[in-house]
Amino acid sequence: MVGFDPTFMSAIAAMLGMASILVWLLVRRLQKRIWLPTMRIIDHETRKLPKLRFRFPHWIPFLAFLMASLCIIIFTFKPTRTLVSTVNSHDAHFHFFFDMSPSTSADLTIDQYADASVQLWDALSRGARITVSTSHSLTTFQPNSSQELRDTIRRLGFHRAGLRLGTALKALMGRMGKLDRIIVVSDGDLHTWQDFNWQFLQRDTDVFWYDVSAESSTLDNVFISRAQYVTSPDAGLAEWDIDLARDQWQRAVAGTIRAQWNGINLAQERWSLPKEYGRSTVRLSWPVNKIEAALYERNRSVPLVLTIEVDGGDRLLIDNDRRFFLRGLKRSGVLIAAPSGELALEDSSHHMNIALSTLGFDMKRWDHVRNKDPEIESGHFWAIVAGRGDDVDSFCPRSLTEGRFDGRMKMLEAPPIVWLMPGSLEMNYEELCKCYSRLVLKKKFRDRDPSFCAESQTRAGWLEMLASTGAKQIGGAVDDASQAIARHFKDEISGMEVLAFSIPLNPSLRTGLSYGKLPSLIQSLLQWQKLYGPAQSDKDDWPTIEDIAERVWRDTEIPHSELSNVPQGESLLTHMDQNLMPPRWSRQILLNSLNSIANRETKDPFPWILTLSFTVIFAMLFEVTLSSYQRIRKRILRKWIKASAVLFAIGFLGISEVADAQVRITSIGFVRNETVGNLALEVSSRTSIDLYKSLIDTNRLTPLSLSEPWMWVRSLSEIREGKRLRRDVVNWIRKGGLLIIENDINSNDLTELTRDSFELRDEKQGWNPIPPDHELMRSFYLLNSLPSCRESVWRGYHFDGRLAIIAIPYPFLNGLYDVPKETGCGHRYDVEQSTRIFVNILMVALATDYKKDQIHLPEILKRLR
Amino acid sequence: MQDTSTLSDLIPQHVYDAQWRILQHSQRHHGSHLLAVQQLSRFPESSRKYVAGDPIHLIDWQAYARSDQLVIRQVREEASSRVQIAIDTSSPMRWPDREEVRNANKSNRIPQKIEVALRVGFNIAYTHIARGDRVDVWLMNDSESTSAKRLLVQRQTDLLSLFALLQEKQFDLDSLGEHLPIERANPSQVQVAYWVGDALSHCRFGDFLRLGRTRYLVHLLSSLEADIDWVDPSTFYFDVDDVNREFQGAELVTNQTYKESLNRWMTRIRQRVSALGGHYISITDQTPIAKYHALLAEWASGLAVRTSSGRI
Repeated sequence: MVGFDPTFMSAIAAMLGMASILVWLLVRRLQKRIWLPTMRIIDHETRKLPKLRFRFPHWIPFLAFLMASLCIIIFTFKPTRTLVSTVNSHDAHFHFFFDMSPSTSADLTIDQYADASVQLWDALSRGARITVSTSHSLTTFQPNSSQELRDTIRRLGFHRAGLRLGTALKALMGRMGKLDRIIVVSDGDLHTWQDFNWQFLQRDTDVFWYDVSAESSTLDNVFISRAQYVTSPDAGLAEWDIDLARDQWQRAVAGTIRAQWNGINLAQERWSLPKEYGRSTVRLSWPVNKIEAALYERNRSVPLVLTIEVDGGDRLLIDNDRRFFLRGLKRSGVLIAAPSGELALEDSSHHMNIALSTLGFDMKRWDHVRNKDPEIESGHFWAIVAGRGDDVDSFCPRSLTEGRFDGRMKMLEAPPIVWLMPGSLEMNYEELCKCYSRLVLKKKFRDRDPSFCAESQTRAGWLEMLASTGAKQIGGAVDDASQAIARHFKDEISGMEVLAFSIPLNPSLRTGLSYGKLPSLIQSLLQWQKLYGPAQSDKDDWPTIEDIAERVWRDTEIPHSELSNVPQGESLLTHMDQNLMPPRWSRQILLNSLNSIANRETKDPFPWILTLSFTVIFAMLFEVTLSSYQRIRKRILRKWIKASAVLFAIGFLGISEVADAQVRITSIGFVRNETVGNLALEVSSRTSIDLYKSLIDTNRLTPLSLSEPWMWVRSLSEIREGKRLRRDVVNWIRKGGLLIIENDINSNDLTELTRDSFELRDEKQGWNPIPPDHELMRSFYLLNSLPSCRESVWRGYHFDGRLAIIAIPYPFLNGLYDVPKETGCGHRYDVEQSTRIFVNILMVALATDYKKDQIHLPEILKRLR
Repeated sequence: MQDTSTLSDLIPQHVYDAQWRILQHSQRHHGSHLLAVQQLSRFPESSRKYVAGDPIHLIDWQAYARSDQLVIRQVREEASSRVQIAIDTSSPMRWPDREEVRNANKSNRIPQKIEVALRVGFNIAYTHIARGDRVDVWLMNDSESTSAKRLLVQRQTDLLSLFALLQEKQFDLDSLGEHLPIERANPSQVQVAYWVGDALSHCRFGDFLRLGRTRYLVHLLSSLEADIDWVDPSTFYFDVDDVNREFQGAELVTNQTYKESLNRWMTRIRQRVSALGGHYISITDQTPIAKYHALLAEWASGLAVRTSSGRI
């Protein structure tokens, strides 16, 4: 069975494929254009041709392209072959995942949960390899017995953090690899399942849900959704507003809420939720001094525990207590300032102390440190005020100056922050300078005060000294250091920060600080030094872990993760829509059926990939091979063919007879073995014609005789049928042959010979004596006359405007043989004259009356001109 | 052996008139401008029948022996004349511009028309200078409407050295740049005016030829233009003047469209020259030098008054 999975990409690929084919077929008409200037002289209009036209492309690349593009389009459809594979439980790997999130504990105890797990185990453990993991951690294990599984489940118990199955199983599958089946033992609540795309896993792994949820319960689940600290920092009563919520609103419930800290009962109140009410707010309050020890930061990790008790029972007990950090914590600090009179009126440090208290600081005041120093652990924040006339030892604490070098300061949670300020404007700053040098300068100034402090007696000198140590300017203008309120220096040895003020921090006209301005200035400075911040945000609240797999599995360093508050999603006990859940196996269903051998359909794309890949490769090779062949055929093969044709021609020439332009004397009835070598020599020297030196003589008329342009005959008997010319001879003459008769034949016989053989048009044609202006007389040589024999003259038969038969009254060739013979005329003929006559006859035989043709006339005229 | 060299190989020293050498050595006052009066002479330039009173010693006795006619020879004296030759250098003359066209179905490489025009123009100029005439050679371009460019060549040596330079640069005028000795001027009235060009450009050869008392149009086409058997039937041919108007090769060849249009157009040109009272010859780069010389000889001897000298 073939499966296709078309995607959006398939549509795009198909579209591109079609467009490409169109481009193949559609070519621009102006494929090749060449400039030809004379086109402007063409005076008729061209037909309008379309800009584009269809043309079938060259079939080899086009076919290869079609195959390749078709393969690509099919690829995008993700073709697969459906395989049905059998899952044998003996070879299979099953994994149980136990959801131990808070919601699971809603309707069953850990023992009941363990029992359900064991039931599942018993049903499936026969033969199959089973691994187990819980939502507590990523650890998987393989229990040897159901008892081991039960003990493990009971030992672990339910956790307080929430669970998201999606994250958890993703991490689990990433570690375990391929699994045949995953059985999630869970209650199916929304918080756990909502982000889990189990359908994705279904491709490779069967996902089942083993339902451990109880039948619908009538009980409500009441939980603390939120708690807010509402007290101002300096109030004596700590007040909290606590929001209660529940999952069902059908009935009225009531109960008690209790606040505890470190085993101390702080407050207890009654609450009630009327029918149809889902939420309620309860205020809890207790005196601050009840937990005075708790109000300092070192006790921060001990939470405030709010616990609710529901009359008539609660559905989910694990979320009935909720933890919070204590609010309204005070920071401890040290203030060293010599008293200078009545508190509110004369003591300049009093107002600063008040301001710090309102900002949540609990400052312990020391009048002087001459005899005893405050411990370095006494506080994170130190405010040191140098009074008028005090020496350095009375206000500069040795514990800080020593602590810088003996390592005690590094033991602290955070290095101290010190404010060093003058008591009044008109004071000697020298002692202040000494204290500053002990706090920030090098070790040698611990016992010996620097000499430059003697020059820092005035405020200007003090400011100059501060600037020279590299302290950063706080306040003032960039170019006016005198307006700076303080300078900040961070000790590199201990990390202690020193803020050296240039003015006393007390309300005064001279310092420009009013009673209202002083606390806000102090608050700003504390904020800048991160000693004071806005109300603690939810981020600083006790951890509520929504997803244990996301937070705890990956990072075990999260503090208080064990005591995480239960997320509200778990408390709401909402169940996932059943239609969205994987196949469910509840306790009511026979568990044995799970163990039955199952068939699973898998999709195998490999055969398709193989087939299509081979097709693409074939298309490629097809194109390369055929194109190469064509190129070779075009470029090389054609040359080879040409070369071989030339070679063949040369070869044939080599084996053929020499084709010379020679003329033979074809004769009938002549004496054999006569040669005309001398004549041939003469002819070749006088003309450009080679004459064959021996006669071709036959006794009878043969086809060979009729293939030559002329024929010399002595006896008429061979060419005559009766008294007429033979038909083949007549035809030969019609075709252009010249017949030469060497015999004294009377005119009657001659007339009889040609009677009715040729169609004569006028009187000039037929038998006539050859006149002096005849072509024979001037075809090469200009002859005056032709020799006669016993008063017989040369006669010529004219037909078709040419000389067709010559009748010579004597054996003409006899005089031209190499060994001349008698002619029978009683006298020898002049050889030169005979040779000339022969040449003329030869010319007439080969070219008829060429002078009459006037082919040479233009040349002659040109010569004349 | 027939000389098979064509105008593609023409150089200025190819002198066309054999008789002229004799005239040159005759110590005459020479030049190509024929005076109206004919004088009797021994030199066989032209002849007429003997008239009583002619000197007896000037009778051509050999001719008498041949023909029983008393023939007497006569010549016309010549004077130095002013000649100006315009060589069309406009864009159509830069054709064929592509190697694939220049090699199309031809065993020989076909030169650009401007090369042949320069060869012919320089050849005519050289001949006239050698005869003692004053010659101006003008380079005419349709893009320059204000004034023409005159080559500063007055002597044969100038002409030959410039021709050698042109040969070295393969007749690419643009590459010569400032090496080309030219000045801008306007042609003036002269005795003889030649125009060497394809008559395709917007240069107005008629205006130029009117400046000469004797007018010659050497109508030069590329052999690829004269005969278009090389065109590819599937290729389209166009002219830069109207790029939207184009003709398919098949259409040009099969219907004789091109041949007929070309013949009509050349006839029109010939008639225009004839109307001007000028002489016309048509040549291509494949015209044999001998034939070209024969035509020029006709002109020079004053025999060829007919303007319809025919194509070569």
